[in-house]
This record gives sequence, C-alpha cells and structure tokens, in this order.
Amino acid sequence: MKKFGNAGFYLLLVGIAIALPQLLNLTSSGKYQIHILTLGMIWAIAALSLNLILGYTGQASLAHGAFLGIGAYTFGILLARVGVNFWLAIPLACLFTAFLGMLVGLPSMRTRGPYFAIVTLCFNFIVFKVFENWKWLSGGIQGQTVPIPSYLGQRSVRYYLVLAFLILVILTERQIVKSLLGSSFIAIRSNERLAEAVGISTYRYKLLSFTVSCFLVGLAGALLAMENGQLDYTVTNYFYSFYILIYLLIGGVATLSGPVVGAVGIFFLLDRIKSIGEFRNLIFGLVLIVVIIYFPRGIVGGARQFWDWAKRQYAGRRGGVLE
Amino acid sequence: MTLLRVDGLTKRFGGLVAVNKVDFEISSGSITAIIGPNGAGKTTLFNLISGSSTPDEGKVILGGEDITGWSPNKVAREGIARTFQTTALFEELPAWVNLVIGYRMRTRSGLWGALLHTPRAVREKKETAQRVTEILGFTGLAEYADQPAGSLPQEAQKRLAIGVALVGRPKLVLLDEPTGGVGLAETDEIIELIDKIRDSGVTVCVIEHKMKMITNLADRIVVFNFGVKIAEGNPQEVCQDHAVIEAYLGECLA
Repeated sequence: MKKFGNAGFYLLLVGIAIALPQLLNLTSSGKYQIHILTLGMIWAIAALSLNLILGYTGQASLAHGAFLGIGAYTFGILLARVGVNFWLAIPLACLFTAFLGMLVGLPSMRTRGPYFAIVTLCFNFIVFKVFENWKWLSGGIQGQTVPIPSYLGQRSVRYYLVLAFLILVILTERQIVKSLLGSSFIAIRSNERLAEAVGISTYRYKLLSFTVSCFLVGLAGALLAMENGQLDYTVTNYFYSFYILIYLLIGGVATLSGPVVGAVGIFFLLDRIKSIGEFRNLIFGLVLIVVIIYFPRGIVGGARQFWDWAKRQYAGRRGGVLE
Repeated sequence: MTLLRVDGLTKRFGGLVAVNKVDFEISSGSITAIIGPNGAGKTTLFNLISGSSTPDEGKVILGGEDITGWSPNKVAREGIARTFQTTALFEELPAWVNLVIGYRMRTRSGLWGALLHTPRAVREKKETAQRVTEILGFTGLAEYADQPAGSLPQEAQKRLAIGVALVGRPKLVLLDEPTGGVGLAETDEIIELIDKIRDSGVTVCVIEHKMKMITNLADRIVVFNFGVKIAEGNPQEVCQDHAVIEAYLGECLA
C-alpha cells in the first residue's frame, strides 16, 4: 500500500515536471525560467554523480568540476570539429570522461579520506590551467561553439530531454545503491577497514564507483554544453566542484531526492536573487553552515526527520485517546 | 589435519620486535586460544595472519597455500575471517545489512547485475537473504535485524560482529577478545556461541584474557609474552607450565 502511495507521489512529481514548461511558455519571462530549470536539472545530474562517490562510497571528490568540463568539451569538440552525430556524441562524452576518471582514480584511490579530496582538487586545478592555456583545445576566450540539431532549438524540447536523462540517472543510481554492488559501496563509506576485512576489495570498488560517477558527471557536462550552445575554459573551474558539493550537501547527501532538491532549488533561488550580485554567495555560505550543523542529511534528511517526528507525535496522541 | 600453519613469523616496529619468530599450527575443527599479557603481540599476530599488516619474516600457510603478504580482502575470501578488539561494525546500517555486506565476498554480481537485473544478480540476492536469515538465527539476533548495528546492546554488537565474520562461510575465524567489555552473564552466551561455531565445522582461534573461560573452552592454548611463544599445549599442560605461571603470576591456578 505504502509502495503504491510513493509511486503515486513520484508520478505526480513527474507530471508536474512535464506540465511546467507548458505553463511557463504562456508568459514571456516564463521562457527564461525554463532555461533556468533545465540548467538546475543538469546540476542535479552532476550532484547525483557526486552523490554516488561521496554520499554512498564516502570518498570526497573535488574533481567533479574538471570532469564536468571534460564531458562538456568532449561533447562540444565531437559535435563541432569531428562532426559526430548528437546521439552518439553523448555516450562518447560520458565514456571518455569515465575513462579519464578511471585513470585519475588508479593512483588517487590509493589515498584515503582528506588526501583523496586534496589529490582530486589538485587535479581539477591542473585541468583548469590546461584548458586556460591550451587555446587550441579550449578555444580560448571565444570558446567553443556547440552546434546542436535544429529540433533541439526550442527550450522546452531541451527541457524534456534533460528531464528524461535526469529520471534515467535517478533510476540508475537507485538500482546501484539498492543492489549487492551498492552494499559494497556503502560498506566502504561506513567502515573501510572492516569492509576490507570481510573480503571487499575496497580499492576496486572505490575505483568502480568513481568511474561510474565520472560517467554521470560527463553526461551533465554534455547536457550543459548542449543547453548553453557555447563553452569556454571556465567550465572546468574548480568552483564548480564546490558548487556541486554544496548542492549535494544542502539537498541531502546519501539520499536520491536530495541532490535534485538541492541543485534545482538552489540554482533557481540563486538566479532569483541575482540582482544582489556576489552577496548571494554570502547567503549561500550561511545557509550551508546552518544546514551542515543542524541537518547533516540536508533538506531531505531534515524533512524526513520532521515527518517521522510528526508521525510519532500523532501516533502517540491517538494511542493515548484509545487507551 | 592442519588448517593454518605459521612459520617463523616476525614483525618489527622500529626497534621493538612485536612478534618474534613464532611457529604454531591450528588444526581443523579445533578451538585454539591465544593468551598472553597486554602487549604480548597477540593482536599483531592476528593482523599478520589476516593480511592487515605484512610480516618482516616468516610465512602464513592456509591449507597448503602460502598466503603471506596477501591483502586482507583476499585473505578473507580465501577463508580467514576476523573480528576486531574494539568491536567493528557498519554502525549506521541495520544489523541485517551488516550481514549482507559480510556475505558479499561470496557473491559476484557487479555493475551489470545492478543495472540489468541479470538472473545471477536475482539469484544471488535470494541466496544472500537466505544466508543472512540463517546467521541471524545462529547468532540469536533475529529480534535486532532491523536496528542500526551501532544502537544494539554491547553484547549483541559482539555477537553481530562474529556473525559478520561467519556469514561468508570462512574456514577459520579469528576472534579478538570476543568477551572484552561484556558482563559475566553475557560472557557465557558468547562462549556458547563459540562452541556452536566449532560444532558447525568452522575452526576457531580466539584471543582472550579470561583464563577460566579459556581453560574450559579451548582444545589448545598458545601462550605469548613479549612477542615470543613461551608455551603451547592443552589447557592442563599450559596451566602447569612454569613460564606461564610466571608470566601470569599464577592467575590460572587461582
């Protein structure tokens, strides 16, 4: 019964997500909101990818900004310079990003805890500098145009495409974390030494998780390139590693809805208060501190806590009356 | 029949020789106890056998295979499970999930299994569920199955840690002070459990301080002091050994 209730709830959400562009299309400012929501969903995919390696496997990657950029550039270069078909370019961009992720993971997964975060942050910095200086690769200040098929010219079409990918990514991640493979990942997050002692090759599974995570962030990069139609080297900036991390932390780490709520919600809100300029980062920082201290599992974790608490209160009162 | 043989095992930490040229054997289906004062090198010996630290000299041989220097996860899959002195569990996860993880070494489904629901993944999930139920019954933890491991009473945590070690069907379990920090009444329950483990055909090697418990439980006792094996034999022999009495100030005669 409860299962059906949940499914109904998710179907309702998907229904709203499908209907939203139709409503927004009615007003002129609404069309811009479609673009913002699309970008929010792309960041949600990026946050979900980080969730796999950080939330479920416990390894804090600060290189996801770099891999996002690599995915975006692979996609853009394949389309513009190689002339690959759009639908082929997406999986190729993901695979190439995953491959690079694996290469980075091979040495860096030997390190533990904060050292992994430092190594990946250094990697991101290197990638950023490379893209900044290798103008033949990044296109310098002019950047790289991303020619997309004409049927993707409409905002709402791209919105639906990104929505479909987002749902696919959520389902994929759900399959992974509920599987036996997922139990290996979660074991590493929970107690790496014990995981090793019960026969789990922690190195192998961390590497696998990181590779899959990079595959997914590569997808986010490709979609970002598609939505913007234009790329420059700043897309590899390590700022984005932190942005993705913050979306994930505020939304709710190690939950499936958290990254989506965090990324779409915060991206949307940040855009609304764009007029106050860089001050918004200040507000952002304060929110982050409050969330981390009081809601270690983010907005979604906090909401669940509240829901459980409310249920207990209600159940308690009802029990009292009956007795 | 010898299950595990340790041959001239040595481990140095700087100038300190924590384990010094140790030889002993564990025969199949027995309970071997390793005793000795604090700092005698017992836990280091376990670390060397289970692969979490590499010996400087010597060999560890399991059922004829040289497993010296193997990584812990490989040693575990080969059939040596262990528990830790400070009870190690996947604390925020429910007790049954702890056991699922413990059984992962016997299942092979990976990414494709997870994504495509391959027949093998489905079969292995069923097999895991069966084995987990079995172990929950064996360790008497069925009532705690859904509770986070870290929230269980101390003694139940100890039993769960033993369950996590057993669930992957090891040949040998190394128990590092399974009754440490547990009350007297509960100690008896854990002793019963260790007896049951041996009866189920799994060889046990246990580090303990409680001499009374050991003399009743163990088939064979190995005594350490300052990293050196000072005595070995059945409980009677060991309790009468002069060197042992000296190391323990006669505790086991009391």
